[in-house]
Amino acid sequence: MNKEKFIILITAVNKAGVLNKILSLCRRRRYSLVSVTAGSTENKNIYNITLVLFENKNRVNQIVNQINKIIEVLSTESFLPKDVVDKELILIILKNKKAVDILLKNKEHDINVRVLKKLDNNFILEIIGEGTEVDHALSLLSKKDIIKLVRSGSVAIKL
Amino acid sequence: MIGADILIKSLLKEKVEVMFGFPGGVTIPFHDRLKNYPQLKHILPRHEQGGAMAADAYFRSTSKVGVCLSTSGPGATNLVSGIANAYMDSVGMVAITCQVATPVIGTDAFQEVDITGITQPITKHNYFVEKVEDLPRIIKEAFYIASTGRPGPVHVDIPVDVLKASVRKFVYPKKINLPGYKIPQKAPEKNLREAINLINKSLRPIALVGHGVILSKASQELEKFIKKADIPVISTLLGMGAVKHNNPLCFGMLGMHGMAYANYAVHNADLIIGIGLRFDDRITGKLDGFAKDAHVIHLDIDAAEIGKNALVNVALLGDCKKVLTQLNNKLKKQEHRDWLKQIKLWQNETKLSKITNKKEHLTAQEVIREISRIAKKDCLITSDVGQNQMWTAQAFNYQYPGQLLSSGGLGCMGYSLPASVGAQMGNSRKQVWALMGDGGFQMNMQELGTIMANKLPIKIILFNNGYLGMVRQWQEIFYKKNYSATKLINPDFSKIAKAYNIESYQIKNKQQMKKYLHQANKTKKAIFLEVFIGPEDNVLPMVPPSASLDKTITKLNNE
Repeated sequence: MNKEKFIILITAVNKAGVLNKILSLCRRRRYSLVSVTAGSTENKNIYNITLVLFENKNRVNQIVNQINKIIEVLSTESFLPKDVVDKELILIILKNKKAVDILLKNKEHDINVRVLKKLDNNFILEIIGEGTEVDHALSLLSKKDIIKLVRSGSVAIKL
Repeated sequence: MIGADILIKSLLKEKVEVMFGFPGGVTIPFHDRLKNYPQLKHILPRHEQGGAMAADAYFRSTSKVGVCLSTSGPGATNLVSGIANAYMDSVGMVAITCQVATPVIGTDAFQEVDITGITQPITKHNYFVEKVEDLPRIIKEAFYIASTGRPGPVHVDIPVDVLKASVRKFVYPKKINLPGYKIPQKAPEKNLREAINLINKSLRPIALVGHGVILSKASQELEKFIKKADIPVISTLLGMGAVKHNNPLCFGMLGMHGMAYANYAVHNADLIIGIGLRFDDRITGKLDGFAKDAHVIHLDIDAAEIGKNALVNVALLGDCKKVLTQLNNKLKKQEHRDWLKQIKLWQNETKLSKITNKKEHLTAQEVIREISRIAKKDCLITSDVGQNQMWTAQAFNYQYPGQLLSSGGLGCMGYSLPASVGAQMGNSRKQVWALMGDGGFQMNMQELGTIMANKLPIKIILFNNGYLGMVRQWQEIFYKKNYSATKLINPDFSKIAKAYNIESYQIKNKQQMKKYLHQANKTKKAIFLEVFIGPEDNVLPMVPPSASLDKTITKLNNE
């Protein structure tokens, strides 16, 4: 079976240790995760957890069923990226204005770029976009222009 | 009133009659209050592991949640094997550990261990009780989760200051509020129709039954199902007794040490109806060779088990008893006489009496067959792990669901003796026969003390072959008889039993076997029988590791 990118959306009761339980489950069943995000929802007692993984469909179904068994978990569902809206936040420190302009002027990739701060000749930027769109945009830059890069991981929402 | 009273009152609200507890520094507030509640019987094991295994067997033999309790640190870690065992075999247990006081948690205090972190992967759920106000709700939830859906152990960790906290009023909640906990009941119509369709079309069906049938108390519905559709039934280790052994449609146990004819039947089936089992590797053999030409219907209460190992064509997510009733309402009467004839042919060629070479010395199988002949029909059997376990599964005629108490999924040595304590405590009127090997006995032999102190009339049968038998068998077959670390230099076990005031006899031949088994059957006191068997006796049949079920070996070269 082929591996592809899946996004698992989990809603859980806001109790200490729930994220730990979910990640422990992934660890001991040998699932490697691309990213994990967790945060509250419109109901402050309920948390949303977004897992992004690269796996085959059978394995994804298995982990969804296993996560559903956790008592604090209210719902678990897996999706292909095209069936949800998912976004990621990237903070990046660039060496020079040239690199900044490459990102600001790009029209090819669906990303939102904003300059946050300028320190000496370095620039701190915020990029928001869907994971693979960001990957493509960043590949426009040369490695020596990037001083530092941190990614938040995807958060996703479904109607 | 203090937290300890709240704990005991909550246990009484859950109708707990017996619990297995071992004291320590932080349990004293609890043990101090016990005298005010004589209706709660507290049994002291001699090792916390013994207590946990007793609680496990208590549940298996009474269907009431087994309760064990320990102190913090080492007491709690000693429960771990027992909890893991309950987790693997879907046993309803509430394991209570007392913990160091909340202000010192996380400071590596004396006898402190992160026990909720340790038990998290081996429990259905666990709780840390932060304040005494939460205690009644937590106990109610713990028992609910342990005993419903797919049963499993729930661990509750209670700090000692919570046990000592004063409380004005005891209020036990009326309702359960667990929005994330759903219990499947009945299967959807569409899936039922698909299943019935497959059953109607099949020519070589097999009903494969496991622990779920017993947990769901679905024996009657199962018997109706197989009778109406003329379907042969084969069971896993933990499914033994789901259907009476002498039911003409019952063909025993399958798997690594199951009957060859059962394995052939499953291998050649065109439809496997799995009921209340998890297609564990001990019974599937090599997965890609398992039931290759068969459709699979999987009836189980745990969605995560459906499709985990075996590929499933029709999923029936629900409770065994309820879904079997649904199926029985739609099932049409049919016959599979030719298929049954074929299985009976295989049975004739490969039944135990055909493939077992007569030995000059006494064998475990003969002893177990004799016990099966003379024991009270509703007796309970506990087994340990290894060769003794497999012989006990093969040679005894199981008549009742849940008659055999055995550590299946975890395969934890040392189970038999403490399990017999739990079984006897839960069933004072039944005979309990505890079968084990010399290896497993020594792992928890301190529980002879519990048997002595509580005057439990358990019939202990020790098969002494001077080896860790199952490992020795593998070393003989696969490692050129390199018996590394499997030879046991043993003490005089009979003397040890006598030191515990348990009358004890040694059995070396058939006459002694008949005499002492007869005596064991009649006695109203504990009895210890040490049976000397062949050091190189092997368990057959056998499916070698990474082989499919059709490769069942019925003969070993040197036999």
